[in-house]
Amino acid sequence: MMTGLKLTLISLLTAALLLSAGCSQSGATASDAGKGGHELYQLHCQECHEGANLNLRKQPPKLNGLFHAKNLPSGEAATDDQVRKTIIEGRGIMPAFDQKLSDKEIEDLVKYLHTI
Amino acid sequence: MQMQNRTGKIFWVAIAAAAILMGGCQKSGKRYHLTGQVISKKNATNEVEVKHEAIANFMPAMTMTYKVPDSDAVKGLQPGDTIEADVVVPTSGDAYWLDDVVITNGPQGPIKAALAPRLLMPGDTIPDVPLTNQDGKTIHINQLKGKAVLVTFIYTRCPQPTFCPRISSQFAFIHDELAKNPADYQKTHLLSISLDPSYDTAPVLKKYGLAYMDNNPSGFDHWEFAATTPADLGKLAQAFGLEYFQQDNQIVHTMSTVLLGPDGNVAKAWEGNEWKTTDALAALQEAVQKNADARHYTLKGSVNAVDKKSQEITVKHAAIPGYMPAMTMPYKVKDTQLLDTLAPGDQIHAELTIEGDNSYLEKVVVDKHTKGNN
Repeated sequence: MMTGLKLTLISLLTAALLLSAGCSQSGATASDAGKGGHELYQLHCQECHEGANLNLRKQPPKLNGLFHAKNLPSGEAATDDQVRKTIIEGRGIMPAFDQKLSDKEIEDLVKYLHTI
Repeated sequence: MQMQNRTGKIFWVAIAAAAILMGGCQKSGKRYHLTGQVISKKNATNEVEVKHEAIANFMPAMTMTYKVPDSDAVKGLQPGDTIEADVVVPTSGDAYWLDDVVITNGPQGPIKAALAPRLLMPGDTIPDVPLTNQDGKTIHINQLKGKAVLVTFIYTRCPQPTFCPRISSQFAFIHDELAKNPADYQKTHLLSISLDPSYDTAPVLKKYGLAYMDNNPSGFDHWEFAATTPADLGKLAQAFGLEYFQQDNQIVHTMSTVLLGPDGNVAKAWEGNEWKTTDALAALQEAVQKNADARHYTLKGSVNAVDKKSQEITVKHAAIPGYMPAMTMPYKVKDTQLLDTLAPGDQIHAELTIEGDNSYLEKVVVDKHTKGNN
């Protein structure tokens, strides 16, 4: 049974996704298969990592040039493995994307992060 | 909604006054005919929230909560029912109540369709389900009675920055601000309950919590993160006016943040994420202050009834010097475990605490058990 509230919530979330191409994981489904790293970045990362005035405990760092430096903002080595680990397990206030992104999607994201 | 809140406040003040002055509702009073629709009800307290039409020569159309002394009538009502009833206005000036409630055409109509979990009202009680905190320890919200407790709902994988991350960030700010005043810190508590109990195990919650308290685990003494079973989460969600459901890999949810006063009942509630940390902080501090200003009286009498659902005992007690004459009336009890041991006929003495509009019994001592245990 779908109440009006549920419908409203789904509509709002869908609208938010369409408008902001944000960080929601509602797109983290089979429909993501084949999406390029750029789209995955827009869908799951951009809203937090490029957002302003989010009023969060800590402002998430920009991801531009992530692999150009020796270390990640966390201080860990800027390696594919470390970035993959961060995506899956989360870090600080960044939520874990465990069971939300496929291995292929995570690989696509990591590849994309090398290009920015 | 604003009207509901305002009338709700007026109602609660009136009910508090009425509860003090009388044990039950009087039959006498002026009567007005009401036609309306049930929005919600509480069997435990015999209260029904009704959206009603204008009442000629009495009040305009509005939504208001009424006491219905006939508990069978309350049980027979469902949200959405269209009813007719008499509003009784006691000549004594006590709170209005409903009599001769008749369901006219059953659950139907636009109000029923628009019903959604409602925001909690001051004085509402919440179920005391067991929770498992970030250290794997079983806790109960009732154990926090005596403190002002700010409760909210999150899940650790929530990726929407304006949802759980924002609420947790706001809690972090409040946690930090309260820590600046040791007196406030000791008399307050924060609790974040997970909407994703299957994933948010104790270690996951611990890691999440540490991120919001600068990796200082001593903060968990003041701000706990907890999960419960899906079934008990459902009970809590219903009580907190929260709606949530799984969609793909996401938990779609509304937001509900509630301040429980030191008596364990709802003192204030906020929905959504637009509430201000300064407002919540002020409400916490006000609740603490109110508790500090509480008045205490000694009550002595015999138990007439024990109601576990409403967490009340009805006591026939002697006059309380400086407060009220001898009478029989229901009282909330602070230690709800007492409800399992007290029985009608027990002679007791206890401390009656009056905090603002709330009152409850604490330090209950059984002088004589009915069953001759003592």
